[in-house]
Amino acid sequence: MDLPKRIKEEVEKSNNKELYSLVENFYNKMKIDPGEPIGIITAQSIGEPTTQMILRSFHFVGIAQSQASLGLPRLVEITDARKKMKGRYMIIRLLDEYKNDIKVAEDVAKKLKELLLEDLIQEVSIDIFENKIIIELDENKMNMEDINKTELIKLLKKRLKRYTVNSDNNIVEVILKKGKPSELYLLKDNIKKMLIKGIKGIKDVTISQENNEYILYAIGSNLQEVMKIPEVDYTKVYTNDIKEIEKILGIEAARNAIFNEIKKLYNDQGLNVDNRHFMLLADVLTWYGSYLGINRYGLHAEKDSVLSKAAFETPIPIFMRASMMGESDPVLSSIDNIIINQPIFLGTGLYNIFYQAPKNKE
Amino acid sequence: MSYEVYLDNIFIGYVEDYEDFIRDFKEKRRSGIIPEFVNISLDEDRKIVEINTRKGRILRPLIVVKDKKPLLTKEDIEKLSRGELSWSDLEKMGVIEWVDPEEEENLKVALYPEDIKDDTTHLEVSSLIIFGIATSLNPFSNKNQSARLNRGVRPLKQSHAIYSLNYHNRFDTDISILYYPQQPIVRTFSNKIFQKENLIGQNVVVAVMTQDGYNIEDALIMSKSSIERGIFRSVYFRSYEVEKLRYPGGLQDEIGIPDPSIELYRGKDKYKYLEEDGIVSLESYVSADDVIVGRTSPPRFLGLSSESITTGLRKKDSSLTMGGGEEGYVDSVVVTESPDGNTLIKIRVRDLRIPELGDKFTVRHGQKGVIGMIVEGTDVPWSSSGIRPDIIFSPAGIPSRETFGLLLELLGGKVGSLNGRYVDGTPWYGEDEEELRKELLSLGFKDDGTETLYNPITGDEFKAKIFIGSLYYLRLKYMAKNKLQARATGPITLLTKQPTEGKSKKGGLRFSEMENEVLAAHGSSILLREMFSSDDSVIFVCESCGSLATEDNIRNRLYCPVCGETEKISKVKVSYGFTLLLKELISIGIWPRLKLDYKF
Repeated sequence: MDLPKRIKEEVEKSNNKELYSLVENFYNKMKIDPGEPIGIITAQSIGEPTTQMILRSFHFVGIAQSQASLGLPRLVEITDARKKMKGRYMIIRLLDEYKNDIKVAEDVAKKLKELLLEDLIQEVSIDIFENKIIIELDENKMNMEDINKTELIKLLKKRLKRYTVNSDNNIVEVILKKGKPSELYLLKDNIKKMLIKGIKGIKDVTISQENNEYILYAIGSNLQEVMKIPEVDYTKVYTNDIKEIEKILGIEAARNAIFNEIKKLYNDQGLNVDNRHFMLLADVLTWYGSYLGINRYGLHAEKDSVLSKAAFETPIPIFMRASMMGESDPVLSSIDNIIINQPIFLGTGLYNIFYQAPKNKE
Repeated sequence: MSYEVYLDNIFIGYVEDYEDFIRDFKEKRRSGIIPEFVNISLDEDRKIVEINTRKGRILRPLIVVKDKKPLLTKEDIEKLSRGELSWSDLEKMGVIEWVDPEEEENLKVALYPEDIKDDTTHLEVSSLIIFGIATSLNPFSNKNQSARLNRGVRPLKQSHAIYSLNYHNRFDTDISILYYPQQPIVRTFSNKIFQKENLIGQNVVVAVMTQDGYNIEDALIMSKSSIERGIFRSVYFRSYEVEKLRYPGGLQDEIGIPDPSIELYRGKDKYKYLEEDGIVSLESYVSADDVIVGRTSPPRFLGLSSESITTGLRKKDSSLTMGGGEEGYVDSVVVTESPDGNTLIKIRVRDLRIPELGDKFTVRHGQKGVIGMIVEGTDVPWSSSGIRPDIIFSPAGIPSRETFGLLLELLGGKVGSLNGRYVDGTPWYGEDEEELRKELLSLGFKDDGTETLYNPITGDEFKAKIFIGSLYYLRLKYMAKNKLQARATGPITLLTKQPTEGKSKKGGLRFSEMENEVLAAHGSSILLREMFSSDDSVIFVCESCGSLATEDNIRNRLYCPVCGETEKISKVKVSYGFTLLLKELISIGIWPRLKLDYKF
C-alpha cells in the first residue's frame, strides 16, 4: 500500500501475501521518523569511524610519484572544498577500438604531457639596456622531446607577434619596442611558462595495463582538454579534482564525485559506513548550487541565523554585521535554541499543541 | 697554518702544530699533570682549539685505546673485582678518561672490543651505557619494543616508595610512602648499585588469565586476602599551609577560633577540632571541609579610618579547611615564620591508603592498569601447591604490546622466588631463557612456567594451563580517592552564573557539544533543555518595543525603560548566558530586540 512502486510490483509478482506484509513491515521500519535528526546521526556515523583512520598511505598503481593526500587529510580537503588541492590526478581510458592498442595509448600519452618552453632551454636572460630578452635553446633537450628547432622558432614568432623576434642558431632574442623593465620581467616569466605541446596542467603520464586494457594515469588535471581528445572515451575520464568537475560538468556531477571520493576513502581504510550518510554529506556540500566547504567562508556563511553563525567562528564580525544590517534570527536551528535554552525543533520538540491558551491570563 | 686557542671561550694565543699540541695536552692529562676533568677539542672548520674547564659540562668515561688495544686489561678487571684497584686508580693510570661532548666529536669510539679499527681512539665501558639510570633498572628491556621501554620507565617516578628517609620531617604537598617496599627478584646490574635507593614496589604472584571479565581493558583483579595481609599498603601525606597576613593600615589576620558573629561563619561543628590557639589538635581525625586553622581577616574594602568598623563592616572568616574529599589524621603541625616575617602555619595530614577499586598499578614494562575488581581470597584460583595469585593480569595485554620482557620477568621471578635467589635480568648480559627454563624444570615445574589452576567456584581444574609467576609491581600515585568527585548543587561562577569547573572548586561535570549532539540525535529535546538549564534565569520583555523590561520591586510593577510600556510585558525563561549576551550587546551600543511568540 505504502510501498514504492518498484518494490510493490516485485512483491506482487510473487503473489505471496505473507511476503508482502513482511516486506511492508520491513519497509515501514526502515523509514525515517518525522523529526529524526538525520544530520546529527550522519555526522556521528561519519565522525566516529574517522577517529579510527590510520595515517598509513596506500599508493596507486603506476602513479607512485603522485602526492595525492589520503585518509583524514583528504577528507578535510573534500569537506573544506579547497581550491588548491594537493596531488591532482586523472585516470584516462581510451575508446573501445583503441583500448588494446599500445601505440595509440603512447600517442595519447605524448599528446597529453605538457611541455613548457623552460624544459627546452638553457637560460633566459634579460638585457635591460636594450630592452630585450635572450633565450638560449638547448639542442639536447629538444632532441629528447622530438622538437624541431625551426618549427619551435616559428611557433615562438607566432606566439610573440607583438614583439620583434630575431633568431640566430640557438639564441632567440625578443625585443620590446618600448615598455618598463617590470613588463620585461613579466614577459620573461610568461615565456618560460609558454606551452609548446600537450595539455596544460598534465605533468606526467604513465601507461599501465589492466585487464587487457591500456589505461593512462596522469599527474595533474585538466578535464576539459582531455575530454576533447578524440581517442579518449570521454564518458570514462576520471579526475579527483571536484572543483574542476563542478566547473565542467555541473553541480550534480560534483555531488556524485564527492560521494564517490568519500566512499572510496572510507573503503580504502576498511571502514564501514552506510552510503546514505555519504549521500547526505554530498548533498549538504552542494545544495546551494555550488560546491561549498564546511567552514566560515562556505556553508556557514550561507546560514540565515545570526546566532548559529556566531556560535561557530568569529562571533564579533558576525554580530557587527548583523547589527549594522538589522538582521533578525528566527531561532529555529538547534544551536540557537540551546543558546537561549529553549527546546530544540527536533524529535519531541518538533510538535506543537494546536490549542492556544488565552494570552495574559497567568 | 696557525690555529687559535681558546681557554673557556677566552682567546689566549695561537698554536702552529695543533696536532702535537692536543696530543701533548692529552698525555699530560693522562699522566695527572692536568686535572682529568679538563677537555680539549679541535674545530677544523673554524680553525680553533678549545680548552674547557668550566662546570656544567656533561662528561662520560671511556676506555683509552692505544695501538688497537684497550688499555684496560683482564688483570685490571680481576684486580677491580678483588678490590685491589679502584675507579680512581684507573683514572690515574690513564686507562679511563672523562670526555665532554665537544671532545667526543674528535674521537672514534668503538662499542665492543671486536669493533676496534686502526683509527679507533676509545672504547665504551659497556654497551649498557645507552640506558639512563632509570631505564637501566628495567629487566630484560632488550626484549621489549622501544616504545614500551619509554612507557615502562616513566611510572618509576610516580610510584609509591620511600623517596627520602627524612620524609617525616618534610612538608611535601602530595606524597605517598609504601609500607613494605621490596627488592625486585628479577633485577639488573644497576639494581645492585642503587639497591638502597630503589625500593619502589613489591614482588607479587601474578597469574596471566581472566576471571569473569573484570580485568578487561588492562584492568587488574586483586585478591582481597592479599590486601588484608598488607600488599601495597601505603600512607598518604598532604600538607596545608596558611599565613597570618598583614594588610595596609596596620591591620592583620587573627589566628584563633573565629567568633560566631563574623561574616562567612561556617557553623560551630566545623571548628570542633581546633584547640584554643586556633590550630587543629594533633592526631585528630579531620575530614572534608573541616577547619584545621581558624583565621579571621579584616573586612575587605576597609580604608585607613577606623570609622568604617563602627558602621557595620564585619570581619571575615578566612579559615584553612581540608580540601574536598580529603580526610586523615593530623600528623604534624609547625608554626614558623614566612620570608615576609608573617606567622606561617604548616599542617600535614596523614591518611592510610589501602588498595581499592580504581587505584593504578604498573609493572616495569609499560603495562599499567587499574584495579577492576577486588576478589575475596577464597574466590581466587589456586595452584596444586596451594599458591593463590595476588594479582590476575589480563592476557589480552600481551599480543598487541609485544612486551616479551614481562613474560621473561614472570618466568625469572618464579625461578628466583622458588630458589631463593635474585635473577639477573640485565639487558643483553642477563640470564638466558633456556637456563631459567631448565632450572624451573629441575625444581619440579613445567619449563614454560604454566601450572594447573583450580576454579575457586566449582573446584574443577581449569582446562587451560595458566602462566603464573612473580612480577615486580609498582603502585602509582594516582588513586581513586584523590579523583572521586560528584555534585548536585554547589558554587557558581560570578559572571555567567554557570557551575564552576574542577574538583578543587566542587565543579560540575561539563555537558558539552558532543554530549549535546547525542541527546539531539535521540530527539530528546526536553531533556536537552534541562541539561543546559544550570543557569536558568527569568527576564522581562517589553512586547511593544522588544527591549528588556525592568522589574521595580519597590512599587511592585514592571515597566519598559525604552518606551515606557507597563502593560504588555512578559516573563520569559532563558539561559543567563543569553541574557548576558543581550546586556553586553546593549553595553556596546547595539539594541537587540526580542519578538515573542508561543512555542507550544
